[in-house]
Order: sequence, then C-alpha cells, then structure tokens
Amino acid sequence: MHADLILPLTIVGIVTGSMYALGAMGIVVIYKTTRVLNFAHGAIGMISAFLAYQLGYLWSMNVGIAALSAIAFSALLGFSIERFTIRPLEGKAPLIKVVVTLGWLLIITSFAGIKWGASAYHVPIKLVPEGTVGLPGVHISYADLATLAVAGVLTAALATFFRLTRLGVAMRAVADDVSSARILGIRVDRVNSTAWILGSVLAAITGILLSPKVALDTYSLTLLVIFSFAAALYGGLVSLPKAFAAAMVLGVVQSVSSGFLHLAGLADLIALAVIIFALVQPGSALMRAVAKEGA
Amino acid sequence: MTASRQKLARLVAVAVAVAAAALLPLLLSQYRAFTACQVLVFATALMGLTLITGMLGQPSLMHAELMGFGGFMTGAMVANMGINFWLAVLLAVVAGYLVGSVVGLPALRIRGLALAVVTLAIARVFDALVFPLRWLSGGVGGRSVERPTIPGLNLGSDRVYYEVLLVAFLVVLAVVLSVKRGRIGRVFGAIRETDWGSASSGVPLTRYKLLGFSLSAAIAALAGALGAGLDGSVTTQTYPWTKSVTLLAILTVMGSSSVWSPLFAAIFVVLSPAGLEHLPPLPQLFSKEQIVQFVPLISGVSLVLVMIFTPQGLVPTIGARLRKLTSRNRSRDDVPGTPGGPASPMEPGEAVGTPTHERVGGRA
Amino acid sequence: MAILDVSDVSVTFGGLQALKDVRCHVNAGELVGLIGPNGAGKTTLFNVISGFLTPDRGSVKFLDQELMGMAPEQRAVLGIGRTFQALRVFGSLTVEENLLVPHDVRQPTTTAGSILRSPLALLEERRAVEHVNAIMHLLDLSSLREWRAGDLPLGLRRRVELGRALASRPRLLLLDEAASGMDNKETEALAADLTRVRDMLGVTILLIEHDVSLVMAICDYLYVLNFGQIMAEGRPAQVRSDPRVIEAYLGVEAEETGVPAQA
Repeated sequence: MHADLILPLTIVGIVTGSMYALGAMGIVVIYKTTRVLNFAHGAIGMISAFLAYQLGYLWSMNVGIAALSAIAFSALLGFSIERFTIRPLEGKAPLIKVVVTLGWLLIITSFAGIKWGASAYHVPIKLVPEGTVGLPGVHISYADLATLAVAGVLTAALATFFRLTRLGVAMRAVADDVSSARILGIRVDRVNSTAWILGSVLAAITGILLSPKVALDTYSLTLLVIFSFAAALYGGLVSLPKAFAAAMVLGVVQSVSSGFLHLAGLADLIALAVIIFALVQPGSALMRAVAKEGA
Repeated sequence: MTASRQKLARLVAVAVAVAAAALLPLLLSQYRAFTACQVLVFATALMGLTLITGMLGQPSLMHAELMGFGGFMTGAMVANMGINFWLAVLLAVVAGYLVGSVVGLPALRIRGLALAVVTLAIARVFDALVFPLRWLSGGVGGRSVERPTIPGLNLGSDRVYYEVLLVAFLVVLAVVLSVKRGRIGRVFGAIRETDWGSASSGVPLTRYKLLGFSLSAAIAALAGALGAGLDGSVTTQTYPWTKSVTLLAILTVMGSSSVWSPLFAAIFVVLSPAGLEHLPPLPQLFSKEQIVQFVPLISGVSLVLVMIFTPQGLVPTIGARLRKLTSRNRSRDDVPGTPGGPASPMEPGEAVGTPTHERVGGRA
Repeated sequence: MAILDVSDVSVTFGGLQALKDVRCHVNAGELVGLIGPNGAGKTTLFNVISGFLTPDRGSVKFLDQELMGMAPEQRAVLGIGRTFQALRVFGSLTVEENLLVPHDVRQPTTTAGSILRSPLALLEERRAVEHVNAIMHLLDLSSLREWRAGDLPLGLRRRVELGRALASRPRLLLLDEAASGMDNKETEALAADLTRVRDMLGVTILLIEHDVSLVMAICDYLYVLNFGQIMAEGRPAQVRSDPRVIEAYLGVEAEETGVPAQA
C-alpha cells in the first residue's frame, strides 16, 4: 500500500468516525441519566430513517418535513419506551432494564422488517444536497461534512448542557442516586423521560443523516450501534468528549488498516479489540465502573 | 411415601418420559418429524445457554454463532478433509470447547452489561470475519452437509435421525442437570451473584468461568453440528444476527435458570413460524417472509412483558404454581428465584426480604 | 507467632492518598480491632490484605509468606477469610449452600468426577455437609438451613457471611463492620459469637468496627486509622485514653460515655 494513501484513508476514517460519534451521543445521554445501556438505540435510528423514507419518498412529502416528522416520532417512541416499559421497573437492577431494551431491539427490527422487508434496499431521503469537496486523494461529500459538523457541534453542546445547565446537572444527579435526587426536589420521572426523548431524537438524527451512506435496510444502521458502543465505552458511557475522540480514533484505525489488510470483517474485529481494550485496561475509573458492575 | 419409594417413582417417571419421547416419531408425519428434530436441535443448544447465562450468570449474545461454528466446522471438515461425519462432529465439539475458552476470556475481567456488549461484538466478528472464511463456508454460498449414515440405520428418514438427536439432547440434559445439582452448580451460582464474595471463599474464578464458557460453547457446537446434518446445509442465513438475541430473549422469557426452559423455548422458536402461518388473519395479510419476522417480534414483546411481570421467567413461575396446587416437596430447580438473579451488588439495608419475584431469570 | 505482618503499605487513588505507610502486626489467637472515622481507609486496608487491591508500595506477609501478587482466591485458600461491609452473600443460594461453596472449591476430585458423581465426590460432599452443620450450629443458623440467603434480614445475612468465611477454615478472619446495623442485643450476641469462634476454632480475628463498646469489650489490641495512617495503637485501655485519639475520634464518645478527656 502506498504511503500517499494514508492521508486519504485517514480522512475517510474521520468521516466514518464522525458517524460513530453521532451514534454514540444518544447512547451516552441515556446512560448518563438512567444507567441503562439502550440496546435498541440503533434500531430507533433505523426505524426513524425508514419513516422518513416512507413519508419523503413513498408519499412524496417535503424532505425536511418528512425528517422532522420522523424525529418527532422517535421522540414519541423513546418517551413511550421509558414511560411504559422502563419506569415500572424503577428500583430494580439496571440489567433488567437493559434486557427490556434488548426486547425493544427485537420488536423494532422485526416490525421494520415486516413493514418494509428485511433485506430489501430502499432509497433513503437526503437532507443534504449532493456535491463533493476535493481533498488530497479523496472526495468528501457535503453529507459527510454535515455529519462531521453535526457530530462536533452536538458533542460540544451536549457536554456543556450536562455540565452547566440545571437540567443537565439534574440528569447526572439522578444517575448517581435516585433517592437523593428526589429528596432534593428533582422531578426524577421528568428527567428520565427527557433523557429518553433526547436520546431517541439523537438516534433518529443519526439514522436519517447516515442512511444515504450506510444503506437503508433493517440491519446496517442497527448494527452500526456496536461501533458507537465501542466509542462510548471509552468515555465510561458518560463522557461525550471522550466518546467523540474514541469514535474518531476507531474510524481512522479501521480505515487505515483496511488499506494494509484486505480482510472481510476487519472493521468488526478492530471494534471488538477496541471494546475489549477499553474494558480490560485499568484506564479510567469510569471505564472500570462499567466493566465491573456487580463484582 | 418413603424416600426410596419416591426415588423409584421418580425413576419410573423418567423412564416413561424417555420412552414416550423416543416413540414420538411413530405418531408423526415425515414433515412433523422433521420439525421435532429441529426442536431437539435448539433444545440441546439452549441447554448450553442456560448453563452460561442462567447458571453462571454471564450474558451471551453470541450463542447462535457458536452453533453456526459447530455446523460450519463439521461441514468443512467433511468436505475439506474427507473425514467421517461423526468424527467431524466430535472434533467440532472439541473445537467448540476450545473456542469457548477463548471467547470466555473477557469474562475474567468484565461482567454484566459490558460483557453483553463484548459478546455481541464477538458475534459480529464470527458473522463478518470467521464464517465467510473459505475453508469454513466454502465462500458465500455456505456448506452443504450430507445426512450422515450409521450402518444398519436409515438416518435419511427424519424419524430415525430424531432418535440420534434425542440421545444427544438427553446426554446434554444429564450433564447440565448433574452440573446444576452438584458442586459446580453451586459454585456457578456463587459466581453469578458476586465475584468478590466468591473469590473470598476461595473460588478460582478463572477456572470456573472458562469451564462454563467452554461447556456452553461445546454444547452449542454439538447442536449446530447435528443441526447441519439435519438441514443438509449450513449457511450464513441459518443463523442471522438476530438469532442470538432472539434465543436469549426466549430463554429469558421461559426462565434462563430452569433446565426445562430450553425445551419450551425450542418449541416456541421452531413451531411459531409454522403456527403463525396458519393463524388467521396473518396468512391473508402477510407473506411468508413477513410472518417469519413475527417470531422475533413476539419474542421481543414477551420479553418486555415478562421483565415487568415475572422476571424470573414463565417456567419457574408456572412450575411453582403447579407445585402449590399439588403441594409436593419443592426441588431446587423449580423454586422461583432460587436459581437466577442478576449480579446486582447487595447493599446493606436494601434487599431485606426481597420478594423472590424481583430476581431475573436471565440477563443481557 | 505472627499471623499477619503488614508493612509500609501505601495506596493512592488518583491523587488521593488512601493509605500511607501502614504497619500492622497480628499474632496468632488475638482479636485485634481496627477503628477510625469513616473514610479513614480501613476497608481499603482489608482490600489490600485480602488481595482485591494492589498497593503502590509495601508488603503483606501471612504466616511469613509474602502475599504480593497473589489473587484473592489464592489468599483465601491459604487461610484468610473475610466478610464485606457491603454484604456479598450468595443471595440466590440457601444458607447451607452458601457455606458449602468454600468446601466445593477445595475438593480434590476433578470436574469430571463431580459431573459423573463418582463415589469419592459423594463422600466429600457428605463430609462437607457435616462441617457445615457444625458451623451452622455454632452460629445458631441451623433452623435457617433451607432459606434463601437473599430473603433473610440484614443481621442474619451477616451471620451467613460470617459462617461462609468460617467454612473456609481460615487461620485469619477479616471482619468488616460485622456489627453494622445491629442493636445492642444483637451486638452482644455477636461479641459472644466472635469470642467463641476465636476460642473454639482457634481463629485469629482482625475486626473493623465502629461500635466502640464492642471493640473495647473483646479486643486484645487496637489500631486506630485516620486519614490513611495509623494514628495510634495499643491495648484498648491505652488507646482509649490516648489524647490524640480522643481528640480525633473518641472525643465525642468520651463526652457521651462520661470518660474524662485527658487533654
């Protein structure tokens, strides 16, 4: 492989990484507040993308309105999941709630498969106009740039939100100790709902933005979540900037190594290595906490 | 009833059940016999999942991939090395055992949620990297596996192959029961609850965790290998990526800690597509491909409902109700909540008299 | 004879010094108390001794054997038993099963032997049950044999954890806040249990405890830990009247119990 391929591969890797980072946002928001890892995150993104497709392509609605409607739907879906299937389990071990999200993964994925066909290909709606930017050795589409920009802006905005706003601090407090938060007057139910709505909206944005690139079918977007998990784990599932950075690194490593080694499934192998490394290395206390739940 | 009379009665009951199971194919059509075979394949595989997740408390979202590994290994060895099917199965089981001790390594340092994510990532690596290897799957199409032969028996008939599968299932059932009721099961239960508490009692965590993963993977490989012989082929479509999640979901719904759950879970997994196809108004409204999707859909819905209402699963709950009605002595297998529990740290002051229905019969 | 020898142990958690140059010595047959305010590092020290935490510096010797690098389960097999402040009972196992687990991992028969139910495995199981019965009798748990440990109230669960620690036949027993959450009557019963355990089983006990009266009543020797350092040590009466200790820790107690503070 030529040395002059490294730069283009790196750029591609950064683009890929920004996809993972975008996907990681919603995961972190929900975990940061509720200590629940939402396994259905990717599925929510996928079904929102499908809904946008249904409205914007099959029913020829305005693309912007289709996207917004799909995002609104995801908010409703996230709210319902929390309100009706997670909240009844308050006080029980987080693992039980995570099992519930696994159930939702199955429900949403199979529902989409029934409605739109499990392996069929669909034309995704495109929010960003076509067009590319020329960079050394590679062309980046406007959509990729948009993804990178959105990911970066959201990371900064959300990180600030959690640190500086009252609601953000309240959300973190609820994650640490629900009873104490209640005593302090925090409306725990509202906070949890907000987290799930926000997380689901982020999932929808990810799905809709990425479906032109990743393919609109029932599994691609849903599985992308594993790479986002890997990135989020580096922040102990609670740090957005760390997740962003890890996502970038993951994307670049996957991309550059694919230049050296032509092996199907290499990306998954690297993601696995990253995940294991994140959890097994004594690294940060945050990661240790996630790794050892229940010792 | 005296103790020895009870033992005798138990033995007789077991013998009758085994005989009934062995004679079942005589009552079934060829098609139904094939279905019964499929049930046995999955029931065997799910025994392995019960062992690792229900008993040892380590989540596994890669179980279907381990089945696929067994199937592919068997097919590959027969095709590439020309060896006898049965020898290939044996080697596939050994390979499964070894693979289990490798994929179980992360469990030595992490547990719970984090481990679930890792097993999912491992499953992806199997699907995306291992299975497509030419030696294993012969490329994209997959492996075809001829129905094996035993001199003197017509295994080509599903009714006869059923007996082979039944033997395998019973052997695995016996092993898992023996593990569960003996000291290994106790130690597994300890590890499931708390790593630290176990270590302070002298439990060699590494050895037992790897043992659990190895056994579980070997059982999955066995089921996958025999399943390949049943189907005549194993492809990447045989075990799609949702399969592991669906298997864990249904087993959890049934109650991942009970040794009887695998059978019921297998019946559900295998029979529901066929059953749904004949359940109006579904066939009128949906195509066959769509109806297949109803299985994970129903699994997901059941899983959510079970987690909210009976977290330890249906089999222990119903078992306990039946036991109350007949008021027999309770055996360790069936007391709700006795086997099964998430590894949530015990806080002093909390869990005083935790009602047993709080305990989960499975995990993510 | 020295059972435990801790020297120069230091532990830092990301900037915070949890333990500093801790030295501690326990002789066979003693009942030694480890007291100090919350956050002083007592449990941290236990974690170091039992192997759950590797110190930055220092050594821990058990029966003159250096323990550095040994996993917790290995130390347990050597003879160090332990209970936890945040109880780590096997909740879904019965009381009897909780006490059987330490035996299970010391049996010489192999895994295969256990699965196949060899006669030797069954014999070992019977012997283990006998020992477990004896411990349950000692701790008055026999009537609770079939109860799920997780269903028991806190005080009984603590006793189960104590029984489980004893089931390993330890030479040294590390008890972390064994009396936490108990009322006076229960504490008295615990004090009696501990002295009985020490006398009848020959177990050396190192005890973390907040209940000052319990500690004063049964301990032969005391270590006072404050801000990660050993602030004072000695016989209970000595420590009790040590002005630094009174000021830092027992001050409030002195007023409440009427012991004159000697400033």
